[in-house]
Amino acid sequence: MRQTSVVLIIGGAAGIGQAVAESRLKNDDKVVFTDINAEKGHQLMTEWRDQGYEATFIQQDVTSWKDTEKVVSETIELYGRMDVLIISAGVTSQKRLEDITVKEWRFTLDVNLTGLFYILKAALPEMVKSKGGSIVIVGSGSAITGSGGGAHYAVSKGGAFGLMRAIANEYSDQGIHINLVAPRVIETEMLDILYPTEEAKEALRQKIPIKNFGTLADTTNAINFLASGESRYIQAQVLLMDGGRTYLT
Amino acid sequence: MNILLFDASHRISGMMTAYYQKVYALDFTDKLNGKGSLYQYINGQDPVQLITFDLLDDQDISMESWLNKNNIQFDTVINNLEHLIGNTLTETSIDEWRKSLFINLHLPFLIIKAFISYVPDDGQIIHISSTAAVSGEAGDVSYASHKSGLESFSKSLSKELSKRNIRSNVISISPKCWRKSDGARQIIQLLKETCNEHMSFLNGQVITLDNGETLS
Repeated sequence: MRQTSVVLIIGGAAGIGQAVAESRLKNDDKVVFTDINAEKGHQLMTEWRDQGYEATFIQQDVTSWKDTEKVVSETIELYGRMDVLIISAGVTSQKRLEDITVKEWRFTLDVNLTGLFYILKAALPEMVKSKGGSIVIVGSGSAITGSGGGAHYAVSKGGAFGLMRAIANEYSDQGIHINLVAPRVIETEMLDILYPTEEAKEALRQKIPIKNFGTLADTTNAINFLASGESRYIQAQVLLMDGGRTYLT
Repeated sequence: MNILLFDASHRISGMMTAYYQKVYALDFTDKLNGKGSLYQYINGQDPVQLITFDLLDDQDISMESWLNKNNIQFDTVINNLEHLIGNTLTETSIDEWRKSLFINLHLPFLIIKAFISYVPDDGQIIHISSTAAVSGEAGDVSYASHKSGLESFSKSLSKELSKRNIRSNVISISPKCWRKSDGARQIIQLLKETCNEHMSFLNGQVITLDNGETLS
């Protein structure tokens, strides 16, 4: 019989994070999810609880160390352990280098990279105490290609690669299983921000060898696989999900 | 060839200024506040201070005015800014993370924004990185993360600036190479080759100098 896991999802009230939360709840896992959007978070928590699932929402600004420490301590207070950590919070904006302001650069790096450092720093000691667990970071193919969201976005997602590898070096022998998925062109709100018109989307679709965008279900399947014992021997890897676009064109 | 080095205090700067006849370098008096001076190094002479700068002050146009007035262009800009603490995740404080982020990523962004208009078409940017970006092995989570971000930054620049034929590449160096007796010489040799105008088809790459160790 499958054991119920305690899953913490950072950025769980939208896009990929929300889809992962739904899939984990359907598997009867205990899900704690965070988001900056309290209204959406509370609404989802109510919906999910009404459906009989064990979901807890905590509002979190990922750029706040205090908020991040609180998320981890409340999760531990609630369940005494954390088996799976999915980090999916992120921001993007399509800008050329000359148009990226210092403020935008800093904000993107604060959310996407410093936010990642904060949650890893806060959660890892607790995961080690409870004899390990799985971490999946939601990165982006932009880190590999340098395109699709501006230099600030690529830098913030590229920084996640090195951070994930450094964590793996430090914690692999302490039961921490860590990997990163790098989706490229997935049907989410971010795709609508980057490609706002149907024409733009169609032109993009034609550049993908399989002639289709990735879906939330594709991403969720990959994340759940990397978070499971079935991928035990896959460690410190970047799983690029791009319909073949990066290396076949 | 006019070369601009982002950090005069970095160990490769001395060797570059000795090899090339005329090199410009930023000498930071306060790195965390983006303040310093632009110096010119002419082989065999004392360096000359040209102008002070404050990268965080939007109103400070003294550098821009000076570069315009003197009609200066930089064929090659070398981002050799580095900040390595050597701390594990638990040892890394929030302040240390932020300091590393500022020096390894924010400053290169600010400098490139400030100087890119002074890089001619067909010019190039070279970033000095570390194999820690791929292997995470430097024992420093901040450094590994920020150097890895820098490599993505270079790829973005190579795409964005290709319309001006400006190239952006990374030279990724193993920590072991720095410790070898002839390591610095090998690094400079690779830099010189990368600077060479005959390498005009080399763009968006990470060139690794590591004796094959990141393959294992």
